[in-house]
Amino acid sequence: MGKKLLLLLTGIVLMFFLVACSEDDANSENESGNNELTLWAWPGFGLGELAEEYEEETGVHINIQEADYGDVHQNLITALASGSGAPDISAVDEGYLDRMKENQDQFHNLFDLGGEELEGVYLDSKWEQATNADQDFLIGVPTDVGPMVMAYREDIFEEAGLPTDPEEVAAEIDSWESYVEAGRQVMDETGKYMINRTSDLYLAILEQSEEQYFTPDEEFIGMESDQNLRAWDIASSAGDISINLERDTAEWGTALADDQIATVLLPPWMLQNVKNAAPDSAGKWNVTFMPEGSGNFGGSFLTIPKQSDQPQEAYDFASWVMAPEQQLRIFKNSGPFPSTPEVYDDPAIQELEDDFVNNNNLGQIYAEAAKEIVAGYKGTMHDPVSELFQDGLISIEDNDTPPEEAWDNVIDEVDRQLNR
Amino acid sequence: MDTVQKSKQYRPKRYSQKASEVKSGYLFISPFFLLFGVFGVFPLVFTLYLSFHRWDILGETEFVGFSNFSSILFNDPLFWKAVGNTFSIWALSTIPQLIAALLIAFFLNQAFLKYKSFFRLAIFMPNVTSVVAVALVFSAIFGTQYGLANYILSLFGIESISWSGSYIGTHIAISVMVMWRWVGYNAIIYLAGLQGIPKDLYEAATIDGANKLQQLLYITVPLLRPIIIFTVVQSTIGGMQLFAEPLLFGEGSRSQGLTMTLYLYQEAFNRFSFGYAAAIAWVLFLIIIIFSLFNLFLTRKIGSS
Repeated sequence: MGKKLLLLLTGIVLMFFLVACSEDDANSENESGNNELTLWAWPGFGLGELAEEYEEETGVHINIQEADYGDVHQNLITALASGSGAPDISAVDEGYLDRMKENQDQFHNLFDLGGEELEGVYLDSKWEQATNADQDFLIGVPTDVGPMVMAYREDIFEEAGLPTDPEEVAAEIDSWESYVEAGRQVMDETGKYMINRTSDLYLAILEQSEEQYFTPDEEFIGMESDQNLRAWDIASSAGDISINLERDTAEWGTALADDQIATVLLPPWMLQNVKNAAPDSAGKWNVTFMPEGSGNFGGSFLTIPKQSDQPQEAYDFASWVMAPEQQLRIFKNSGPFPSTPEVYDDPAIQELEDDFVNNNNLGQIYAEAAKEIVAGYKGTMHDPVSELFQDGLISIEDNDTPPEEAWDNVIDEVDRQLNR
Repeated sequence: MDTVQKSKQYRPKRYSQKASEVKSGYLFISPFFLLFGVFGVFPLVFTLYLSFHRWDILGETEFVGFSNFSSILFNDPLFWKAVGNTFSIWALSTIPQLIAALLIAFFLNQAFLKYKSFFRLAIFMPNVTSVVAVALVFSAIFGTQYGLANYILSLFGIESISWSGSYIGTHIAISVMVMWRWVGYNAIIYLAGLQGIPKDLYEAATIDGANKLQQLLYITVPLLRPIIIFTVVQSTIGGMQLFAEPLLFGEGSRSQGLTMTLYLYQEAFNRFSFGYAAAIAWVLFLIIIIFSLFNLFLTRKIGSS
């Protein structure tokens, strides 16, 4: 009896080995015969069709493995730390990019693989993020950008006595002070809110500046950085024009559909979220420039981890799929906005039409906004610190915490977290 | 002479059989120990090692002595807030939950009840639902502007509560989520315990003129003592590890929904302070042990008095 069980167990174990081995064989065959590259990304890149086309042309199969935004980065960092399991190509969002740049020895320098040819193809702000300070290390091929614009409800603006024509709106609301003022007018005249949450207003203002929380030496300057102080002051005084709902939640969607929110500060890709949340508001929206220039929201890079044993093939694909023509095609397939200025003159962008917004110059506004983006220096702790400032602002909205007290709490907590 | 030789011949053979039995014995239990070693012992030891270091997972580890621990204990209000939140949510969810579960089990055990299996199944259903789905639905119910809970309150003329913006609101919302998922599980356990109580005790009590409440208090509860202890310990462990519900519901602007394990997770995976997170894990370990012992002591005392 015991022997039989033992045999059975050994059999099972052997079978595992066999399966494992045969998988290995298949892989190595692929690597030598027709190449296969693995690519990690989160949903929304729109690479599927192009990857198939690339395989037809070159015989290189691109195995796109999608996971959640947060999971992709955590998995990548875990794989890098453990020394195995990383893909040939991984998308990295700008929020995590500085952490990766800090550990650039974990990645192939794309300058060694022919990356010089990419210089000048992408927006300067994108290029600055992708390279290190000395301009001798290129960590990834830039993907999309998220130029911030202001979407507003024509019907609510009209009711409030504000202009509705995009150019006039941009002229009237040309500073954040006048934005808040217009918001008070909307509130007084219609009882509706200008924005969903003050923390989103804060982020939009902060992103307009190169200097945010950290200097390139990773020194925290949040207490004296002009833009951060200004963003905090304006946002913390705007509680009365905010409905205090988190973006992209069910309640946010209900409020949009219920015509309660007059403006959404958004990058092109987020317009889809508004459409999904409030399909009945189609035709009531318009889009114009945000006060005081644009900013960036989202946008990534295709990196090649050192663990990849076919970096050249990986680079060839990444640089091809993010070349201007391909980025334009991704955009046409309702993907994110290209980061390559040379396609901004293309009819597909210049004559972009969208039934959801009453604006024939939509594409031009996006393109114009994209050129205005400045590359804010982020640093490895940007996101957690930003989270604390946003929470501080929400606590003012939630329960009337005095702004000074909220500010002190944030600075104390930042200080503790940075010294860990 | 003959016998000696025989025993000499036998000895090695018996010895080897024993040895092979020993070997196969170890072989049989080895899968557990291998898995336990890899997924249990190693992480435990490595966590201890990490807790004395500063490590962002990609870079080098740097020895910092007890500084992680001293920061947690003496210079981290957020950690103590998380401890407070965890206990508050635990109390708000566990105490009503166990009482409700006991009453439900008592009711399900009544002879007059028809369709018993249907009710048993129904009460257990929430437990097999995905936490993510539960949290999504409950987040919609506990919405501040457009939530169902505030709508119902408004019908009674009660002012709307900022569920995600206030301490008590967030704690109640999360507790209700926990209760909804676990009350059925505990009811089923109590029901199993109730069925082990001999029926003639109740019959005798009925004949003596005891009403249902007296039967519950003087027969059911004392006889269920070991099972109550079991559920209290279970709920304590579960409550101390509360994670998915606050993560999905949102911890709120003043971290009023931040639980201990959520804080640990954020420290490791949002801020990449793995050393600090490891130290938090050890402090949590101690807190949970102390609390479980206290709990055990208390339930023993209540049961025996």
